[in-house]
Amino acid sequence: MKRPLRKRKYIRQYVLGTHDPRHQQQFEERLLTDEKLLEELSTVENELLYDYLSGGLSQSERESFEKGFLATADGERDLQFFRALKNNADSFAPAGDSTLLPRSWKRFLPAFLRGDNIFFKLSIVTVMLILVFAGLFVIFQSQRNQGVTVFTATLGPGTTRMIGGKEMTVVEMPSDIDIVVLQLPIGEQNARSYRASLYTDKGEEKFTQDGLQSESTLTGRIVPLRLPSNILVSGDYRVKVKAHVTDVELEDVASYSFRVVRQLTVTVPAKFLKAVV
Amino acid sequence: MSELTQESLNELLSWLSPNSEEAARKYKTLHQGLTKVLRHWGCSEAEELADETINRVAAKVRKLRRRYKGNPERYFFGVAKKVCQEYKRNTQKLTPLTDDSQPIASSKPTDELAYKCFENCMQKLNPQKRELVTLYYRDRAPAQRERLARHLGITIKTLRVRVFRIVEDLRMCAKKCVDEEMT
Repeated sequence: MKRPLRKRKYIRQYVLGTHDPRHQQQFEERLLTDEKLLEELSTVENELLYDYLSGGLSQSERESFEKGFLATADGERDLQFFRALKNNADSFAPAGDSTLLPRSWKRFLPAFLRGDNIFFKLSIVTVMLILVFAGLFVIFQSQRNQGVTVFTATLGPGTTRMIGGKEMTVVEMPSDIDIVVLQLPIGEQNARSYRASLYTDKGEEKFTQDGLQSESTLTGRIVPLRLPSNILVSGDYRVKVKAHVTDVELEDVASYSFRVVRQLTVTVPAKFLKAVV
Repeated sequence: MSELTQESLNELLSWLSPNSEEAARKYKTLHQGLTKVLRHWGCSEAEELADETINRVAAKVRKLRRRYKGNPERYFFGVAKKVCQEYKRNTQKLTPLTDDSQPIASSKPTDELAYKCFENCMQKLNPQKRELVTLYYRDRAPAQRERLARHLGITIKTLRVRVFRIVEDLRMCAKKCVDEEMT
């Protein structure tokens, strides 16, 4: 804020002829190329002309102004013009709210937000966009977590029984769930990442997910496989876990058979329930 | 007064910038800047002297482009200084009128003419602009101007520039009117 004020002060002094002559040539050379500076100079000239006519200049300022700026024919003309302008403004109706000028909605904003600086406006828009997206993300995340039902089942040792000569885990899955998490024990294995594939009992691949990370539990490490519940209908399945030993090399880690039994939910209309009761 | 030919003008513009639009913009700023500077140096008829400065440079521009190193504007600045000095020397040489010489018609417009032209130009302005410029100059206290800027939803700086542009249009219109009335 200080620089524009200093510049404006120098322009005022330049017009009055009381400026520091050391910077004069530099300032005048800039006037030949800088449109904005020229505009500012003209604005200051206009203000000073008006101040001169309204008695807003000190005695010494008046004298310098008369000797310099007003001494030329152009100066006299400008003075005549501003005398007419002042006369017109002074004869205008007393202060009151303007009737013709449109009221802007921006009048409620503080001065710094009413500025024309394009970089400032861009920054404000960027910040607002970030806030909007952050807000939307939070809402989306909370809705996602609220509306989703997750069912977790652990496969492997301790959960199996013999069915038809095969050792398998029976997973009794409620019908109203959205996501199934299969926890696949891998012992003390600790590879960079894992791939888990789900097959039907006929060997058809139903689902594969790569880049899975193992997690530590009380009973050892597991690889959690999240899959949509609609993939699993009642029936027998096998899931195979492979470890990424290198970028391209995969190593078999574990394989689990399990049977899915989907529970059915029967919705009884309220009037039937009442009848039963 | 040096004459400006179309050819030298084109050469001058391409010296200011190879892009024609940019060159025209620079030319306009240069002329306005020279007028301000010459006026500040106490040279009346600053606009005509700015023309003379540009014409003199244009006359030499072909050679200059080959020989001169540096910003063209700096060269104009030097020529303008010379033009102003010559002007001052020449006006000082003019013999003052003796008491018995016949008065000649004044070239200065009367206040009445200036008012009349100003009023005409104000009437040509769109009513909103007319009100804006009037309010700006009538209510000159900083708080009142801040109120006006707030009413319009702009900053004080933008208000100042907006009023400046209206005043410049008015001034041009009034100047043209006065010149026409006097010829």
